[in-house]
Amino acid sequence: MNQGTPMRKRGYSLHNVILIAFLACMGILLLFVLFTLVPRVNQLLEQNAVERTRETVLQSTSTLDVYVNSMISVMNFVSQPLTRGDAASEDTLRLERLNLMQQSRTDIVTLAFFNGDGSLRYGTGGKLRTEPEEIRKRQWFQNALSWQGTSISFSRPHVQELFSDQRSYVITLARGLEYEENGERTLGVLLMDVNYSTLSDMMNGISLGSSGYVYLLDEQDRLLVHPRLDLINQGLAEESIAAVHEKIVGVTRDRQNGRDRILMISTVGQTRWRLVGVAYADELLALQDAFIRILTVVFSCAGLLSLAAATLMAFWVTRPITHLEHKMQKVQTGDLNVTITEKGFREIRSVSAAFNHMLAQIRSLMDKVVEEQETKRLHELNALQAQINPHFLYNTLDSIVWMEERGRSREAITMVLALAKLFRISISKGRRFITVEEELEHVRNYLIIQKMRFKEKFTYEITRQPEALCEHTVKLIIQPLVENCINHAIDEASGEELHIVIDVSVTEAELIFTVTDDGIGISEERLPSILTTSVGESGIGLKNVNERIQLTYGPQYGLSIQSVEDEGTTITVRIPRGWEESK
Amino acid sequence: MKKPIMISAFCIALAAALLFWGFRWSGSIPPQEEKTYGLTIQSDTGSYVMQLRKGMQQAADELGVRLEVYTQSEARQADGLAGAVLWLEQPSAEAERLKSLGIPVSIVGQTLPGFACVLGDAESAGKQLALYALSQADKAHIVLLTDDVDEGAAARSRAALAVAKAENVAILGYLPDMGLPENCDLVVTVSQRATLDMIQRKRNQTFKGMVLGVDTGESRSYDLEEGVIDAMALDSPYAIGYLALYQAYGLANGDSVSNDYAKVLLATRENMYLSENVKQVFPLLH
Amino acid sequence: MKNRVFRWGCLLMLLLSPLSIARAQQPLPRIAVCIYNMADTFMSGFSNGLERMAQGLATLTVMDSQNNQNTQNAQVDELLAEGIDALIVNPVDRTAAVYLIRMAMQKQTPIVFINREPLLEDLRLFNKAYYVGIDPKQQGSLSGEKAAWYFQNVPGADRNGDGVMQLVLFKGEPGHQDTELRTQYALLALKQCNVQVELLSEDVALWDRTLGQEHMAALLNQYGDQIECVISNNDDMALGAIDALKAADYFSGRKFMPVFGNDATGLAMEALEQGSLYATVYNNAEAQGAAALRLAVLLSKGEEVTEENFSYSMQDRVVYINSVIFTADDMKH
Repeated sequence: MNQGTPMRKRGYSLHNVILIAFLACMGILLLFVLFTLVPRVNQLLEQNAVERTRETVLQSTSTLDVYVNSMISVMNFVSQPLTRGDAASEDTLRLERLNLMQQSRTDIVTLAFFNGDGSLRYGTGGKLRTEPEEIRKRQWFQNALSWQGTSISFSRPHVQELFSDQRSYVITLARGLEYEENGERTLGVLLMDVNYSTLSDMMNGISLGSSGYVYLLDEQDRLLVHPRLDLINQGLAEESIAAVHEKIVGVTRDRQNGRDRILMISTVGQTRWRLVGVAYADELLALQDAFIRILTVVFSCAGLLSLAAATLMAFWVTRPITHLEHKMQKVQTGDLNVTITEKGFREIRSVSAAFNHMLAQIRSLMDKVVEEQETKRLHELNALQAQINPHFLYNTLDSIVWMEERGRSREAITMVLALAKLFRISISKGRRFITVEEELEHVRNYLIIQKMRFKEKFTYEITRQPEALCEHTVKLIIQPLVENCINHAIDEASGEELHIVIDVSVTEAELIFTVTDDGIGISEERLPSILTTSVGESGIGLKNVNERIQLTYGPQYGLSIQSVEDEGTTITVRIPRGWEESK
Repeated sequence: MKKPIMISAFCIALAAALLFWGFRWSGSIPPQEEKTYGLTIQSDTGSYVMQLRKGMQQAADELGVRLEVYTQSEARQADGLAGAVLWLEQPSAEAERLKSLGIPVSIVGQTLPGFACVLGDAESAGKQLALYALSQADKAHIVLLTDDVDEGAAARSRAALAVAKAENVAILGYLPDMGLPENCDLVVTVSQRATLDMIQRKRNQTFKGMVLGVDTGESRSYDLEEGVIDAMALDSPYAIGYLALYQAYGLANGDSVSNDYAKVLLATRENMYLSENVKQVFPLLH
Repeated sequence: MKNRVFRWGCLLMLLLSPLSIARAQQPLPRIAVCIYNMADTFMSGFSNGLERMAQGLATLTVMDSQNNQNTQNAQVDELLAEGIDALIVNPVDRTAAVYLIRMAMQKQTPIVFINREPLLEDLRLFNKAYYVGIDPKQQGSLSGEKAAWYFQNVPGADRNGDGVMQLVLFKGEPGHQDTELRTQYALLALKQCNVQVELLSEDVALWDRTLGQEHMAALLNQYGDQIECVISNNDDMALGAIDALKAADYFSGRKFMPVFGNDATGLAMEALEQGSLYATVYNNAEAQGAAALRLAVLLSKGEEVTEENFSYSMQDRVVYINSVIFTADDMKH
């Protein structure tokens, strides 16, 4: 059995592999989403923002178109009656019509009809203060004539100063109109002045995002309407036209005052004007910004949650394995009685069950081995025990025959009886353990026999504590010791009588047998090896007894010998009390 | 055994906190409270104050602040303002009062020591007048009438002098009812009283040459059209108002500001009807 | 190994062969046509004609501007960015053509306008901007001259015998080039033919047949037999007037009214044969298409337009295709 601390194994930890694998999977998934979803959504958001702005700009253009068309309708409506019939007589009627139209609409300031030479036929503006030749020089007049009524001229905003009693800030519409005079058809010019404020209010009220706006410019890239036109005119603000000049119509981008802008340029019908929608990229793409931020938050959370999940997962999966590992380490330290609770994953369970089964197998094998060892020991014991008897039997039988031959039947009978008793106790019906009383009886019978043989050689006495008598002991312990005394302790040279004292006493836990003699003792050199080497017939006895005692009771019990040369020997046997057959 | 659970719990808690705080971060900005700025005026009528208010309102809209207008008598109510603009004949008392209240002040139309001011660019006006006079090739005898009746006239005088000195221009100091040199065919005036005087002389034919001058008041466009004056240097109260509010705003934010000068237009019959100039020549129209 | 080399070699040669053929032949010029509104039957017919004529001469792409100038602006912008060789444009708003011309000028791409004439001052901006169309002045003059001839030569034309033609005019959309110029020049032609005219009504019927009919009915109510002649800016309004006239018992054998139309539509030609419509002016769409296409092809190749390679009459880069007037008599011959 391996003892000591379990070794640190090399290789990858399952826990870490699961942790890293899970994190790697989540990481790959998140990155995949990041790189596929994010650019696409970003692009869509941008397209959407630009598209919505474009829609607003086109809507504004539509609104302006509607307004322009309504102005043109008014001009057309007003044109009709002007052209027919005999001019002069109906002029007052026509002027009345013009006045009605002008008064019915707040945004029409003046309606006037000019002859081809620049003189005023009739108009709602009152008296003219400008000479016809001056009027002929005016751009609106020239355009109206040259286009022959096929298009309407729209002027830039200006203060109208043609009339004596009126100054107004207007945009002038003019178209050529053919009229009949004295049977002649000539081209005149119809003028309509429209309030600038109506147009500017309409346009300046439009916003794109929180700071975006629209403005109007003409075909020469001059600003007509702009939310900050007054400031621009004063030199206190500016509008960069370069990008619009470059692009002409469509969608383009530029940068002003450190902000990126998206410009959408559309044409306004009939006027030769363009409407430019200015949207600020940072506002337009605020949604994109918010999206990025939300994404950052969400991805961070996802990252943290997957870390948590990975940790839990790794822990949960490997816990039964770790449990298994710990238990196995315990087994490594020598504890074979470990059982693993079968819980957790199926695979772990089956491994645990197998492990338990295996341990059970080991334990039963171990038990078997122990049992076999026991049996072997018993056999050994028996064999050892069997070693003791033959020589004594032969010698005793010889003595019996000798005595019988000399006619000392009584002594022979005593010896036979003693031998019989001796053997009966020796066998003890196959029991290993006998009572101390029986053991002493055994020795007594032995001594009887030996006394007869070695008459004057020794004396003996047996002392015992009464409590010891009913204790059990392994049989045939004392007799070999006594035999040993008789065989070795007698001083042949001096012929002194050996005195053997046999004593049995008890302690709390032990039985102590002592065999003491006053014989020749054992030399110091021989003493240590007495119990280990078997020297001759008599040497077997002590080693045998010691071995038997130790095999039965354990290594802490057995024989101990004290001896002084020429003085005596004491052999002490210690065995535990309370040991019985079943053990 | 517990360590993984603790780590997981910590991560989840952090994620929850991040989620909560993060959505706040990507949300909207809390609205700021609106500051009010005051304009104290000497008179509520006239095109000058009309354009002044329009310019200030434009600036107020751009800056996202409110504008309150007070006449001189209401001035006491001007408390709790973030800043004030004064257009008064004698602004020093009110300016000091506001300064003691810790309200930053911007003065319009004149300079006041210790305060930031917004004025028409009188130097540019003087220079433009002088240059225009010199550009009239057929006018051989040009007279420049200097005047220091007020701050603006004095500045114009200096600027016009600087231009006219080297040329063959007669320079006289203006006095009411003064006589003009016989052959004078163009007179340049730099003060309103001088301009009006010259216009009157043109009307009653005592003077027949060209007159260049400064703003004649609400009749400015008529005077130009009539022909009694040929070029007129006009301030832009719209620009002045706009700059004044920005100046007060700057002061309120702790910026150091210097006097601002608004562009001056030299209006003539040729350019008076253009949309670029409508706010100065026809202030009541737009 | 040899086999493989041989196979790859053949494949390579096969792949390269179209290239060599292509190099031998110049690719056809890519020309785009933007029509103001394909829902307009005249223009969709025009466009179909163009596509037919372009076979083998150019690769034509036709786009519908859906009656929205800004849609057309975006189309032209995209086409120019793609590097189209030439443009043929029928503008939605003729005054906005100035911007299309400027855009084409940036890329020096030739642009030929059709059917709606841009302002002359705009065409003059770019030396590769042209216009192909009919001259509404000429068309007006033709109608006027024919009406004058009728008045002066057909007995009973001057119903009341006062020597003055009592005329009713039907006008299309006001401010439209065709409306204004056809009207002006018809009246001018009458004057030049020394026919005195009393213009009873200058009626705006917006090119519409129903409106023509309604207004004619109203005019008959008002003037009855006084009306001696009807000149209309287009055939639809003329046919409407004829409807009203028929309802008032004209063209049944007893009463006759000379009605002059313009465009020579299918229905008009039928009416001409029937004898209800007196004359109409033929708007040669085919010739216009051919001229526009020829110009576009020549210009896309960078060739100069001369009398040798371009047979149509042109002045200041404006090509007016000649119009002719058809009467019932002409049909018989």
